[in-house]
Amino acid sequence: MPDADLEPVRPWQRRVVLTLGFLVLVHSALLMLWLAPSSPIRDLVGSRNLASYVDPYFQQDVDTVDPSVQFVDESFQVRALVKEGTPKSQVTEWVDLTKDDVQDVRYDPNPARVHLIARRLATNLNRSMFALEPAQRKIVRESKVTDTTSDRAAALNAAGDSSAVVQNYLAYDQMATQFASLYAASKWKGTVLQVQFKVGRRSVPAFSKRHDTTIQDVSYLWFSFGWHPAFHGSLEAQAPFDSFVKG
Amino acid sequence: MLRDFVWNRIDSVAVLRDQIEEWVLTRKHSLYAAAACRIGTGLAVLGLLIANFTTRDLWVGQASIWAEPARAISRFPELAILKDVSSDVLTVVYVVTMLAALAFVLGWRTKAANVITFVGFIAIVGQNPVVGGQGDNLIRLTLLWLLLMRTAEHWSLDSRRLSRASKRSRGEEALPRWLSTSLHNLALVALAVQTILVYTAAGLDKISQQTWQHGTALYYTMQLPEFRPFPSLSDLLSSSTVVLAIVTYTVLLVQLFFAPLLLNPSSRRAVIGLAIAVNVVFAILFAAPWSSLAVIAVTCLFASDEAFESIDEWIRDRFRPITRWIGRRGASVADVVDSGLHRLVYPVTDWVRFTIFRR
Repeated sequence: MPDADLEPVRPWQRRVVLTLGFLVLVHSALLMLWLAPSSPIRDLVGSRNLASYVDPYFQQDVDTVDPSVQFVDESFQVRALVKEGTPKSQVTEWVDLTKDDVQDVRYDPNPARVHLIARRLATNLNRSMFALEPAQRKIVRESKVTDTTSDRAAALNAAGDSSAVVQNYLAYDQMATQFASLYAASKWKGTVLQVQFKVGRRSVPAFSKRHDTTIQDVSYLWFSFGWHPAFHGSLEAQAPFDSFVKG
Repeated sequence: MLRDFVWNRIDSVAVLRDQIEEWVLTRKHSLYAAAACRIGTGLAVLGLLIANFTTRDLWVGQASIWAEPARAISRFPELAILKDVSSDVLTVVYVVTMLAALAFVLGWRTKAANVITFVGFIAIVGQNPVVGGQGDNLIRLTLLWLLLMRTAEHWSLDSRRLSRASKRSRGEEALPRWLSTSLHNLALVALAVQTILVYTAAGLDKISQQTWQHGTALYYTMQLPEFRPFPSLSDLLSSSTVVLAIVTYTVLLVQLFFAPLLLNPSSRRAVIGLAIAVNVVFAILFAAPWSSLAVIAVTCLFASDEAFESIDEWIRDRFRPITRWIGRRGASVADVVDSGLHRLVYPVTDWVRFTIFRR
């Protein structure tokens, strides 16, 4: 039923409404192209142009409505070189952060997002590391604690073609280093001098083999990253880690 | 002959344009659906913030310094609100956003609450893109379009307040009636198209994958430790090939055929019901209640006002005995509270004023 006290709409008001309607139409068409697979029309508009329109407010993906299929289980482990009292520093044992997270959120219908951090770091590290070329991965594996970020960047760029891939990897390497350092400072007594992390990756066995084997029977494929100088955060940054790690 | 054909086409385009103009300008559509979407989206924001409240410093506070490289490439200007702020400031912004989300759910000062929830949500959730999810995108997009819509016409404190002062309500319209009506309707269309696009894109993406074609896709996800908060429930669902295939194909078909099934009233009711049901299942199965609720909220946009009115009536009928009981007891409860105030609270405050502060 129309609004009772509706006033007659003037021609200029109609034009405004039609313009707004046209904008909605164009916006919807751009979103449709953004979400659509590659096609001549999409290529004509250009992925970069579409990305610049949707980013940031209209950013979305085909996974916006769950669930998406996932095959890979990842693990993120950390160890540190710690100096406590004695003149000689000690290497700690490996700690599996993702395993701890899984235990913490079991039977929790509403888990906090901090329990996703280790797994997401592992996923992103794996993804960015696999984007590197074999020669670049060898550099990553053999990197030394004395290597600065610019040394690593130079070496990686010299061994591969894409600087964007190297930049992406280095960003996740930095995030993992800082997170591992803050975690280690809360986990172990003493001063954390260096940290090392490794990521594991294993896939769910095929559905047809479900009666014979489960994912627990599959071993992780590990990729170890070299030692990194520890990052030291402020007291405000460290305090939440203390309560998270020590429960 | 050709001229007649051309004039006929021009006439039909003009008729279509008139019909569209009438639809956009005459009245606001789907006001119940907009209210349902407001409540669902507001609850999704509130639930997400409550779930992460105790770990907020690690999630988005100073302890998330490690996520700076990911934050640096984000283009949301709202992130500046929490840039390098102390834990206390973060807590204030966090609590204000939670209160705004609560006000949004209740429909109290809805438009202002919508703005604060939108800005606060981006400022908080955007601080740590590493642990962000696709549900965040949907919530943000929904809050954005709801800004242009009239979402407090039903099931809101604003509507109660305005209905009590109906004469004044006309004067409280911030925009001319024709503009507010057309903005509401166009935003409704934009959000509905947005929802159809994400459903269809998700369906098309799934149909291209073998595991979805074979009806086993969910098996793989349910085997991963991070998606098994209730292992026995996941095992129960994946142990039966038939049940697994039914659930997998239901998800696939609902997403793929969401748009065409909306065209017929019966199939529309079925597809909305199924979409809500599968999201409820995944909310429990994968411990993702808030992203599922956000999807349910936008799915509700496609239910008709008549359907919501029937649900509203049904709920009111069921709860009428309780509301009557509360109404009858209300006076006695008020008496007890009043008596308690006079016997306990006022004497204590008087004693404090006269004895301690000597005033």
